[in-house]
Amino acid sequence: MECLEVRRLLTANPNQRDDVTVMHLHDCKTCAVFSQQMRQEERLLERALQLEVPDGLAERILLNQSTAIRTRRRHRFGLAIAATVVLSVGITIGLLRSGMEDGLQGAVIAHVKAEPEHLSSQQHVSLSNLNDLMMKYGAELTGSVGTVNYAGSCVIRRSEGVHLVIETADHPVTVLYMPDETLSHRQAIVDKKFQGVILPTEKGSVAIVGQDDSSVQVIAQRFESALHYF
Amino acid sequence: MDNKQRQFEALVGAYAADLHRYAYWLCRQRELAEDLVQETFMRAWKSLDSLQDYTAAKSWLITILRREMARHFERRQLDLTSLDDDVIDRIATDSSDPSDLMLLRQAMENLPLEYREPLLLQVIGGFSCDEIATELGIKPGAVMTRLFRARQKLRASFDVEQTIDSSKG
Repeated sequence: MECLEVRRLLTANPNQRDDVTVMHLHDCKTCAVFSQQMRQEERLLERALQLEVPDGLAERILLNQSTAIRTRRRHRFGLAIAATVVLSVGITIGLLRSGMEDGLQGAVIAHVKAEPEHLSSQQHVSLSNLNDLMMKYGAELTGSVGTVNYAGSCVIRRSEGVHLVIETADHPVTVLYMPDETLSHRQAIVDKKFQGVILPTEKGSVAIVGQDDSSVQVIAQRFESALHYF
Repeated sequence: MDNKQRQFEALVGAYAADLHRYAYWLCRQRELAEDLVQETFMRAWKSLDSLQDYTAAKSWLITILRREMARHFERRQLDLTSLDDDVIDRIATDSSDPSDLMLLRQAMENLPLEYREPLLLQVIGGFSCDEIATELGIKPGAVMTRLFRARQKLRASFDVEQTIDSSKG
């Protein structure tokens, strides 16, 4: 390797120590001196960047985290009491509820058919922008669910939710996150053109609708592993 | 204390300071840097189960931090602010080579973001050239060029400041 190339490498990374560079530095005194200078400058740079960190930073981070956990536990306790009340009432209205759940499948299909323009959308929504939207509904995606070509708020059965269109190898798949639509169990959606599934989640439910079962199952799996709540 | 909590506290202890420095040298606002680090660790806590390899924890945290920063600056210019006054005071009290360090920090402050960020990932983050390329979404060759130019610009700026400084004295 030539001196010029070695110095270029050492300027980009003063700690560069691959075999070729080491051999060159062993044979070339001028470059060895250059390397020493670069390492001295690097040590100065490291010291320059070592700013004093605010006092108690780590303690404040842990305090923030423990406060969040307590709030969540309190919230869960409240939910547990509410659930007891709901359970007693729920027995009475169980039959009525199952009727409403059946109605949700129809509402989902009707919504997908009512907004066909989203299926051909090409917005390429980033995960960051997608999460800005999900956060409004108390949820976030901790990993990619695929290429999202449409993301927006929508209303299904008078409740707000999130409408997404995700690219797959064959056909676009629609995902509707419905935070106010709680389900007791997984439901299949069957239609002349579409098929899909509605999954009960920690908060509400998620409907996944596509034109073939394999695409629906792939997106459903991605959502189940990536969807988290605050 | 459960295992997850122990892991989280270990992460905070090991990386909070470096994350704060990294955030500060990018946004150059002390309070904002702390807010971003707080938010980064809250997200890390929620997703801790997804961290499989603890040797990759630092790069994982920096990735979360960069995402947080991008969110924050989505509709703003990142490069408009100058160093906070209280940080300049703290810099001035550093014990080693105070004048050289001060000049180098000023040079760092003036370094354009496209050079500053890969340099921070390398020096504070300990990232390799390939890792920086993945993080920034550019080719390794482009990373090498930016790192080379970053240090050249720092050196040039540092030399100019030194000359001005000595002529004043």
